[in-house]
Amino acid sequence: MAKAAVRQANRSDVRKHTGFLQDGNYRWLWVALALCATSIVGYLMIDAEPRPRGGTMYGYILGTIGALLIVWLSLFGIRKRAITSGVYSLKAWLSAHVYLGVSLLVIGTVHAGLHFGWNVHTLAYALMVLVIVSGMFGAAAYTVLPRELSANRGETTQKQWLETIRSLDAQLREAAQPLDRAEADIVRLSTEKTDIGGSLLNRMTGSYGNCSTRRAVEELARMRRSRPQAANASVDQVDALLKRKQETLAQARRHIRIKTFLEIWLYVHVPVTFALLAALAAHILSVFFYW
Amino acid sequence: MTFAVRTITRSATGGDIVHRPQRFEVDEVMIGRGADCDVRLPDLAVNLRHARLRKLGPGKVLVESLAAEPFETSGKFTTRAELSVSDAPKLIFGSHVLTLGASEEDDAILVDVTRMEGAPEGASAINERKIFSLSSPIFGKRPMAWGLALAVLLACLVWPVAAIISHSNRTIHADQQWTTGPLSKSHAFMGKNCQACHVKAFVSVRDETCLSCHRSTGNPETARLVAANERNWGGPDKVTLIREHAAHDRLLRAMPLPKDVVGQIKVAFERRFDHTSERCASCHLEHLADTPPKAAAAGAISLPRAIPLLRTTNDCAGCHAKLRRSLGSTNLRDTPDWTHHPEFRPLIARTPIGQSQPILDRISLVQRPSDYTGLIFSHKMHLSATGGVARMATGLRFPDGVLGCADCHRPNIGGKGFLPVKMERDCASCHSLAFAPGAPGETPRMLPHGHPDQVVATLRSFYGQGGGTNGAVLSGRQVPGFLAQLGQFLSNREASGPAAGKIRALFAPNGLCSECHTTVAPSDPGSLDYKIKPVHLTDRYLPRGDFNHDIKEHKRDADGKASCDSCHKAGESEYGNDVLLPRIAECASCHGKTQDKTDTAASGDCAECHSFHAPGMATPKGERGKGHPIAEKTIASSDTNRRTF
Repeated sequence: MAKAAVRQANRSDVRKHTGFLQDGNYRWLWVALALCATSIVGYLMIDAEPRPRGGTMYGYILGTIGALLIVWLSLFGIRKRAITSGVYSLKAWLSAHVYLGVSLLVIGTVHAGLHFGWNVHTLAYALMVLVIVSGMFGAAAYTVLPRELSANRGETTQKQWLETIRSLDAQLREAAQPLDRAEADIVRLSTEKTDIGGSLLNRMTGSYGNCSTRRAVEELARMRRSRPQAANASVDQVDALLKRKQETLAQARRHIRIKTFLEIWLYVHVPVTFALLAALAAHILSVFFYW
Repeated sequence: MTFAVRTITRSATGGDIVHRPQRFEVDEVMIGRGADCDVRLPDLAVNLRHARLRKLGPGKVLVESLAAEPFETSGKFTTRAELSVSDAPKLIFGSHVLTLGASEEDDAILVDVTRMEGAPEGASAINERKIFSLSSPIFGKRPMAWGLALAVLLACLVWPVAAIISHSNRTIHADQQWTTGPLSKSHAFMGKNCQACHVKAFVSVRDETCLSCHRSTGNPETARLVAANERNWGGPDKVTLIREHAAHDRLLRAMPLPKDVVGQIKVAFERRFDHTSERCASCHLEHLADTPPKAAAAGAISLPRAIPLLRTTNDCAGCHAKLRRSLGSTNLRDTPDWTHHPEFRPLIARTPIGQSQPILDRISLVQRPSDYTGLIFSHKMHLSATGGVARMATGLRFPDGVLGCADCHRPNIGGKGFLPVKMERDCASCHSLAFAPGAPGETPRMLPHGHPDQVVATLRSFYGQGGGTNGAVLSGRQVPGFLAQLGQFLSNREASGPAAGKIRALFAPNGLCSECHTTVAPSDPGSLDYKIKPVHLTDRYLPRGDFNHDIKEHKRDADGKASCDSCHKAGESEYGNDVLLPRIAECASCHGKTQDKTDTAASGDCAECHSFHAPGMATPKGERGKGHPIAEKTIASSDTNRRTF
């Protein structure tokens, strides 16, 4: 009891956790805001003849800053593989990545002089916007969802869910041995056909309307209604096991849904970043090619 | 009959464990999930009592399903099969395989029961990742990333570059995707041929490229090439030919470095990247055709631009303020602004000494230059309200009874300047060249002006054949004034012959020709080879500046009357060599002044009289989209500033 109290005290001494958005007392937020403000003030103050565009001196400066930022931001894909701490910790990098990434939206727009067309230059811009917007989604997801993930999971791990389901399947198979073929087939529906993760749509909506376990529960209930004489201890046991499995599945699927939102933006963010780097190369080279 | 049922399981190390066989001394064994079955298969895919296995004879067995559910043997699903034990047939029920065989020890039939691999297992690491994380072999992050990057790189960079290098983009213009905006209307016809202007990769658009179509040149060979280029390119509008107001290298040298550090850094970068701001393309910006004019920027209408958008990279004063320092040697004075504009330096013909053509020099009006015209003429006498000229003007019914400027100086088309003065048109109404009446019903006989030899021939021919009577000539009824004077002059002279004497008298220093011209007598006293000293009249004293006489403030006084004499003091000029140009102070009385100083205040901007590409022309004002007013024709006419008769 005393030891537990000490442990509790130690835990409360642990420095309060700050998220990547708050890192360094919002240092990178201020840097990004300063960058945006400077860009906009410069844009408004410099009277670019005949109109602001990438081809003016200010345009080239912003373009260079933007291109360097894009390359640096892309390198986060490599940097994130080494988790370190301190001033240049991974968290600080992520914080800079997020805030400077969002500031690129302003820098890029000002660089373009609010002028767009159907060309490789606007393609690069559009890809950049897509990367930033997906990144913003990701940042929002990483700020909000881990709490939900934790709340849903409790102390359970993913492996435990799978073990539970496997164990329930084994129990179902065992309990169903005395059942006749029709009843056994209902159990097989659950044990053999249940797809825990499901399709991308299932994962995103969290709706598994065609879940085999759910169908098994419904079929069994229907059968029990139509054949009351079939009721026996085995069927009761199977029914109970199926319902338990259903609950476990629901919890695991809530977990999957949250994880899907934590991951899915990366399927836009990462590939489009690569496309952006290619479009950026085409954008820069084409400008100098037809100099 | 004996059936020996053996269960074979897989050990953790992968080996088979063959359990002790269960022997059944019966004719047939039951196969199923039920507890009462001889061969019990704990598999929900198997019926409680699925099938029975019966011996038919030596080495022969029959397997038949008890219900409709089949079993699998030899790759087929069936409900009944007669099998030969020696073939070691396999019967598959759900996930279980029953292999039949003959026992080596007795005549029992062996039934080996094994469970197939691959039945759903639990939580392996791969399973866990697959279930709880998004993953797809095709739409994985990595394949998508490389695929997209490669696609963009190929479509947006490799393809256009390859097409440019191989010159294969004639129909599909892969490099069109690189354009930053539409071309101006006048250049739109070559919009798909990027290399028309972007001749060399990584080299900015050169002036030579622009000038290959736009160069105004006196060199016939170059002019032919320019014309050929225009024909080949086939633009919708006539090409605008331009020229620079100084030699290109001097223009470049005259451009000063910006004063500010930022500007100097900018220039350093521009030079480093070969994208300097003294190129044609630095001021005439393309790919901005969809940019509305500044004044209309607030409005919604955005019309395509007719010509490349003009940006000023350097104004006149930028170079001309310190021209001497930049160029080292120049005849031009530094002119930082209008108030420092030097006095006019008209092209003045110096009196020829021993040569037929005068020497032209630009001499400041400060020096009160005298312009050799070769003409004896007094503006004062002609404009006087009294005297012989006025009397003749009254006789000829000139308005107001006096000669006015416009009676001799006729405006050209457009009224901007004046037609060259021609004797026959502008002087002959008084100084008639008619010397004798013509045949009845015909015009009088005229002396051919400008050709002394023809004058001699005409008079010799007329008087050599007897000529007319003095009375006819003297009557003077056909044309008043000098007809009578010329006829009277010729008839009053006593001469050694009817013709020669009159000719000598006409060309003599006190003769009629000498009233306006300097005559040169023949070296041989017996000859009639008289000459007239050439007359040089200046159409344009200031070929580097423009002036529009048609502007109201330039030609009318406050009462709306013609006011030539407010600038040109012709009424005081007694000699033909007088230069009647006003001093620049006259211009400055309005130009550069503000409205509170004078009602006729006008801009002191250089562009009022000068332009960059058309020396001698004012910079066009207003909407340039209606066509470039500086055309080759107008520039060419500005060159003709001196005529010799």
